[in-house]
Amino acid sequence: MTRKSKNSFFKIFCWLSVSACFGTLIFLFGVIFLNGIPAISLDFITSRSSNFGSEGGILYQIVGSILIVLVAALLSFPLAIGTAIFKSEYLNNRKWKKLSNVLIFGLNGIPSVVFGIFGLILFVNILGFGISWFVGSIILAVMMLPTITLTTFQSINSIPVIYRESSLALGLNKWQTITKVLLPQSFSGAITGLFIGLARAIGETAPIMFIATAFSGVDLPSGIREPVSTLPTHILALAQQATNPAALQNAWGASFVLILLVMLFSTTALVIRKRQLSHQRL
Amino acid sequence: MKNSSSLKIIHSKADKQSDSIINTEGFNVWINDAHILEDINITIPENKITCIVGPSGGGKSTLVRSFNRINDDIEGLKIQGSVRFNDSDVYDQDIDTALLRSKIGMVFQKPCVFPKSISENVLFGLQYQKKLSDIDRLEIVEENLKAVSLWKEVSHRLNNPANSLSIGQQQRLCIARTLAVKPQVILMDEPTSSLDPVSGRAVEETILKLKENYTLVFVTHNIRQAERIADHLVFLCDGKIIEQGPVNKLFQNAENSRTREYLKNEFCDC
Repeated sequence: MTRKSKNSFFKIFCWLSVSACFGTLIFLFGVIFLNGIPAISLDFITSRSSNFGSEGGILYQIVGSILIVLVAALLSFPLAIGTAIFKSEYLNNRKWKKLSNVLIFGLNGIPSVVFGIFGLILFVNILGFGISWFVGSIILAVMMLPTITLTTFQSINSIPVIYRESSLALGLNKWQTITKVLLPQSFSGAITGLFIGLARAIGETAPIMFIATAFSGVDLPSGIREPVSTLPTHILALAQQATNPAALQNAWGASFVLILLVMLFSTTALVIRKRQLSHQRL
Repeated sequence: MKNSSSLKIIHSKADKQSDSIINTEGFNVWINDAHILEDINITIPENKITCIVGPSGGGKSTLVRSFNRINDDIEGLKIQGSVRFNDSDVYDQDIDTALLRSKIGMVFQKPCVFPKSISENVLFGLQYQKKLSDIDRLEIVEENLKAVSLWKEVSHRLNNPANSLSIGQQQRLCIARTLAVKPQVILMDEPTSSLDPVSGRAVEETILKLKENYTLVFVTHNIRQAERIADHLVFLCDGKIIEQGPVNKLFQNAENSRTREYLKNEFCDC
């Protein structure tokens, strides 16, 4: 091969790679949009499901999904901020820093079904908590923790040392420096991480299907020790009845709504990130 | 050995001239295995400008950064000997470093304003020490901006973001912010070296004005600048004090040949 043909071969390879990626994404979105839109109606998103989901709407699933991830976010966010601050500001030893990375990436790498089994054994079997959406929130909070921690850590750690020194030199102590100088400058980074975590958590099925959800006959929960139904577990249940065209139609509709929610969280993360970057450039 | 004996003579002369505010005795600093400062005995006279000069990498910054313990968080830092400020040991275990730093302020090489308004920057250190009424705040902002000759330039836009100022103005704002905390000593680590010559001169003039009320310790590698502003000069090379004393004496009649060589030709083979 000549130099010139190597050059064009490499360019074609890159083009093909990117086309394969975008092609898959567009195909996936296309199929879900085309099949999902006919299922969507005001009635579909404002009524409860019946007959194992093949009839009625997905109101309770939407409410259940949002409830479970929002509570997960509330539990996870302060812990993630604390961990990120500790890792960036209090861990001075290089060995410990490395270990903290191993732990955070390790937590991130645990397969979601393992979280589900862990939750089942700890909360349901050992602690006898029963099937509860709140337990699902706890498990999802643990799953979101590494994402929010790492994003927050990166945004705290990227603040130049001179800001810390300037603040300390003015007689602020470490706590004041963290809360008055570092956190305000890294807060939008933390929020970005939160929304990335939310986008991931709302689509999770395996960690919550044993411990937090019921597949049919669920009402809105009146306490924390009750199950909910969520969009991903509802889609799973409907997919198991795929021979029934009405159930399949509802599965497409629910998938479409789920994708919309994921996109909502992801684009919010992107917008905040972009705002933060343009703010930094000022 | 010859150096240390000459050092002692100068040391006692400095003591006679004025009261000292910071003293070090046998002060050593290591960072990991590098011996950054070796057996430093230094006297900083009160209400004077002390310039620390010497080639880069000689430990000038490490020395001033040891006075307010801003170096504390550096990994592998080890110190020996004493630094005394107003007769209390700076490295005493019980010392409140935040309080120490409000007494020994610091201005850095690169101006670093907080992403807040001009007046909030002036008040930044002070507002966490005591409650301020709105009138107090206005007075403090005006007083300190006037002290650094920035008031006329910014009085009409105190609520604008501080990073809208020019880099030289930002550095003067950093000085104003340090003054607002009312320190006794202000450490300045090459505060003009990242500025253009005109802004640099403006900062120099500000510093000369501050001499009446504050003790200033000024690190520079610019010998002409040291000659213009210093009362007391310390020549630091390769982590050791070669000579210290009144600025005129060192420039006209230094005892050590290396000091003479450095102040004349900016060259040092230590």
